[in-house]
Amino acid sequence: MWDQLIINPMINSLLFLYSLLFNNLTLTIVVFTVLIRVLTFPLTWQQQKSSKAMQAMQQGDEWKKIQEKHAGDREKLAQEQMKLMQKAGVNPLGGCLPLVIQFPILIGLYQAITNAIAASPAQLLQLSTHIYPFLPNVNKLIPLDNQFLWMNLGLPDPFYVMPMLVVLTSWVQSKVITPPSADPNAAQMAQTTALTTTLMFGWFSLTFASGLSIYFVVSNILGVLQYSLTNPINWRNIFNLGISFNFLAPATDEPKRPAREKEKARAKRK
Amino acid sequence: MSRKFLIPLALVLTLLLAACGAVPANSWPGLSVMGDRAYIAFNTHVYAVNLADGSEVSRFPAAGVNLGELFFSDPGVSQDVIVVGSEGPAASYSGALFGLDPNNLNTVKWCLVFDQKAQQRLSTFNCKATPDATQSIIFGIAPAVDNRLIGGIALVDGVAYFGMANNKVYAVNAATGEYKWRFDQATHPVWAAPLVDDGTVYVASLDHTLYALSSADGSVKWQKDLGSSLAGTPALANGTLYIGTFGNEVYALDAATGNAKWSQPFKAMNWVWGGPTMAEGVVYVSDLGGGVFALEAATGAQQWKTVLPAPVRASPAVSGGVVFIGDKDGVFHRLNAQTGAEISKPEIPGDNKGQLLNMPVIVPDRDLVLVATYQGTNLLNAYDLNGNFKWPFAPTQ
Repeated sequence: MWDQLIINPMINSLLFLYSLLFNNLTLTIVVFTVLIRVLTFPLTWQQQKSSKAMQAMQQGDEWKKIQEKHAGDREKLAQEQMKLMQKAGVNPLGGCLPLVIQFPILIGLYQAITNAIAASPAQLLQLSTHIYPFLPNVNKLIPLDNQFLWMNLGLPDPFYVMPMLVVLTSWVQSKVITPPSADPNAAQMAQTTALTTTLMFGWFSLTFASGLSIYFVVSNILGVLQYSLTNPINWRNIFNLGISFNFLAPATDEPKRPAREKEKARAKRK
Repeated sequence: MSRKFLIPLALVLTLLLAACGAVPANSWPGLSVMGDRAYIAFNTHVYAVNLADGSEVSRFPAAGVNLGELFFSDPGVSQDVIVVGSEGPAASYSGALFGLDPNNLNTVKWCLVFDQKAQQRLSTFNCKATPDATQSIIFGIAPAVDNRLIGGIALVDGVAYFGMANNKVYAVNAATGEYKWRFDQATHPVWAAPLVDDGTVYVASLDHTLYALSSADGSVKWQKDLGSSLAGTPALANGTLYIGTFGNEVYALDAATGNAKWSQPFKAMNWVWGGPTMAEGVVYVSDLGGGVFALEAATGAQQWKTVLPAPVRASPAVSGGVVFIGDKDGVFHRLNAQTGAEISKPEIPGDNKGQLLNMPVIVPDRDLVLVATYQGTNLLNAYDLNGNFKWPFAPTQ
């Protein structure tokens, strides 16, 4: 079922595009990623809209009042927050659901690229079972030409350029799609998530075929561009790393205090 | 959006991406026979198996030792040395060639590496290196070259000939591991064992071309673009080469010139991966559509066709009027070589039949046919030529 619905259409589309795009695998991955991003744009847009509504609500006075009022009772706080969300018509899963629907597409795309590169006999045998027999001239395309610049797209990049680009673009995208929150816990969570996602994709890029890294980089750039269509981007926030090594502590300006206190002490001594 | 969900979702995605992309092994076992032993290469070891009863004689590396090398290529065998190729650990895309003692595989006579990664990894073996192993290093980093040795090894007159995933073909002295020459004009990997005959090395490449090279120095005698990838070793009989392609075609070419001998190539139903087999003036071929075909060697005319229910990657083996062939669903077939009719389907023992992706190896003087399985309960199963099961070989961990 998974193969028939997701993998086979993706692999055959990829091969068809490859035949149209001058047998250039890099160009094919780029165009394919753009097409997938365009097709899933309604889901992404819904996710961003929901995220924005949630953010606006969390910055509202009513939300802050509830937080202050029920600071010591987490259960009550959750109940009141839920009521407020219902009142405002915000679904707490509204942002999650489109993301969950996109996961199979992302995994399918990953598998399609890995299968199409087919760097070993077992992988090529597997690829042969996915190809539609009616696809014109597909047999002449195999194996795909996987050389691009200094890279063999079936292997990890030996010079680590692609992993660095993946880490950079993943970080930027993570920061863009999770704008700053007034809630310190949420801000800390967002920070940790951005870091986790970035490191995760960096590891993928170091370990897996560099063809996948091209997909990650293009996908991340498109993610940022798509977000910018519906939201203003705060570039200052993106490069404000603000990494706190105490993951339990809220991300505030606490670390600055000792410096200020030292200055006051120096002034007193004078 | 509730950010509490993001980390668990990211972790789930990580696991799914990692799990979904995994392929259990890069290839199927490599199998060769010499004297009273079968030599089978699969995953972390190469095994010598006694043909009398299926007992293990020796293995490389020793039991309990994992070098990190993966072995899949058909070993090249002679009285003096067993030559087997390896891939490095996963994602290293490195490889090596080992010359092992036939009497005790765990005695390494020599080894040869193709890049610095392998040289460092296998430093305890004091390996020799090919001239290109140290070339093209930029800032101390090796370029991305796929140096895995996937195809089988042809060992003829003391020379081992083999192609690699780095698109090159090498000739190496089988007694010492000394590099002799390399051919580097192919543009895609070579996965098939070369065919060596009368001073010519015939190499089928995934770059759609069949190359005829001089066995003395690797120079090109002729080359022929057949339009689709070639992944099987050609068959040679009476000055004619027979080879199948991923373009669903089988060609007959003049071995001296590369010119086509049939008026048109034979059209199979799907990719022809395994090399054709010649027996008594008949060419037997199989394809991934499950087709098994008998063709007249002189004209390419079809004598019969049998369609098996699963893809057939392996070449057929023919002996005593019977075609032996395995399919991807793990079913072993015996067909009548005159008509293609199914004679029997000898049972593959064990809970997991695996996939039969290797050409069965027939040992006529011992009345044996050996069938290797990919991901099956047993690595090797032996039958007599009537299809009666004789013994299994499943290596102990």
